[in-house]
Amino acid sequence: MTDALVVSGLTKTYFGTRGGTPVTAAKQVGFAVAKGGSLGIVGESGSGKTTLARMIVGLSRPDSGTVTIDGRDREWKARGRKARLARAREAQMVFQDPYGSLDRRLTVEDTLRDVLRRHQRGLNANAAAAHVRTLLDRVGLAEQLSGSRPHQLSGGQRQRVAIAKALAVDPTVLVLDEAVSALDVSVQAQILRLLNEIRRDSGVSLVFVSHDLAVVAEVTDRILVMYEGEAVEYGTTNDVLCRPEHPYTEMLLSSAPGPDWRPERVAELRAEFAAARRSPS
Amino acid sequence: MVLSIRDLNLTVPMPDGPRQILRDVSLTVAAGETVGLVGESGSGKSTTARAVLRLVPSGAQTSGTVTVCGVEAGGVQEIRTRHAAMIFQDPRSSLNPVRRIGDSATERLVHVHGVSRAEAGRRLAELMAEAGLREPQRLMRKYPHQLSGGMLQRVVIAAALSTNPELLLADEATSALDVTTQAEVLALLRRLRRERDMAVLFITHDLLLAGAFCDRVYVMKDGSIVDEQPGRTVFVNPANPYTKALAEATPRLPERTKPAAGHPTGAAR
Repeated sequence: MTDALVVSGLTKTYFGTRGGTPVTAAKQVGFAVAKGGSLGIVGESGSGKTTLARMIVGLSRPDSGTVTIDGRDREWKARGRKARLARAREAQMVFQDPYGSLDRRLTVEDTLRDVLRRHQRGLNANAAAAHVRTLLDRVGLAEQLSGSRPHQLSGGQRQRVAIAKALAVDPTVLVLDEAVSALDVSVQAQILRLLNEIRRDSGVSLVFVSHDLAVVAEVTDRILVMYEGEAVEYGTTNDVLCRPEHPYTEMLLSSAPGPDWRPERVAELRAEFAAARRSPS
Repeated sequence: MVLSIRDLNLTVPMPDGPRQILRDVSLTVAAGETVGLVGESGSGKSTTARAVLRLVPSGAQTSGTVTVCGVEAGGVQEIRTRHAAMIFQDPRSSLNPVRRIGDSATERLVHVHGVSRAEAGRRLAELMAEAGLREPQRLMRKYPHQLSGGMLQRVVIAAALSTNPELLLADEATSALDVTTQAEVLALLRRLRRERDMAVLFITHDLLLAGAFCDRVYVMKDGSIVDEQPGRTVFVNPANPYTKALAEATPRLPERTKPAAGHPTGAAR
């Protein structure tokens, strides 16, 4: 199988204000996602998972390392309209709060048309309308909602619009950063099912960033565990969740509530883990 | 019973007519008991908890009785000062951003309970240390933006416990935290509850978390309590159809092939 996305040696350090200690958000991170594959990136806040997602789509520039999509190196200095649009078609991103990516004055239909107009010049009105219908259908939104503005929609509906908007350009890679974390569980379950359908039908590759391991398990086939900017574990979803090798992954897993949950265990594991890091063998 | 709510109804006026937010809500929490109140957004779980302290929307019509340690709603001032404390999802909303953490967190002790500043500071520092915060005296001189959410939530918990409440109302108190930090904060809450024989009403949207953390769980939907059951049974095919639907919608980790006991160590790379 060909790899849609190849990331290698990505490194990024944030230098804070004067006197502050620099924070390494990514340190020599590398992985590959097959065409139609799905990778989960997990870790606590501050582990660098969002920075990684942003570097993949090009919202943040790595200090070193490369991001290759469809065999093309992501150019960091793409010039001109055509190059920029081509770059946008390689990777799209969906955020936790869809309000941030939707223009509140535009209706759902106008939002999608706006994207289509930019990417397919000369598309006639009928074809555009048909495309909008297809997109709405693909994300499971009723056509009656096409005239609604973001504030008239529920959180789940807004997230569907954001996903439709990202899919409008038919991207190779779709990056979702905590995209279902703010939703009620019943809505969350619908969106997760939808993402699996979209992946199967369109062959888009997913990069799914979340702190919730159980959610990641639903939509990914591989998982990358981040800790302080380092990829501490990388493997198939089943292996990472059922046979974790790294104590940090073990700690993440034991913090998920379940029967016989012992939250005290997390603090113990963290202490053990910190001790192991202080004295590397 | 530390907390007893009977037939609580709450209606708020809306532009398009009155809307009933709570319908005949009845629940109890005994001393030393942790009770979960679970529901999706808009189910009325937060409104119920806030109604205990009479933090109701303006113009709201209520009926029914709320009793905390035998004190009825008429003595809400007494309930607020002596018997109950509440913690919220965002600790930053309970701490003044331009004042030092120690000043905000001891405010209630100093101004409501008339404890001297020095004594209040000493008590808070003690509780902060119990809450797993190192160098509490140094932290108390910091401002909220200088600490992480998990640390601030521990400060807020310490402040809430500083008046020795018999009832703690926790409204999505750990929902904004990392799963790991959530586990640590809840381990702390569980220990403090045991030591003080405190009653806890734990409001969350996460059914599995409520099941794992609470002795008993109430499930709310559209302003009514639709189910009540022991926490453990949440994981074994709940009888109530709505609880069952919630449980099934919640993603779960796959079963582990080997027990967590024999985890590898020293694999730091």
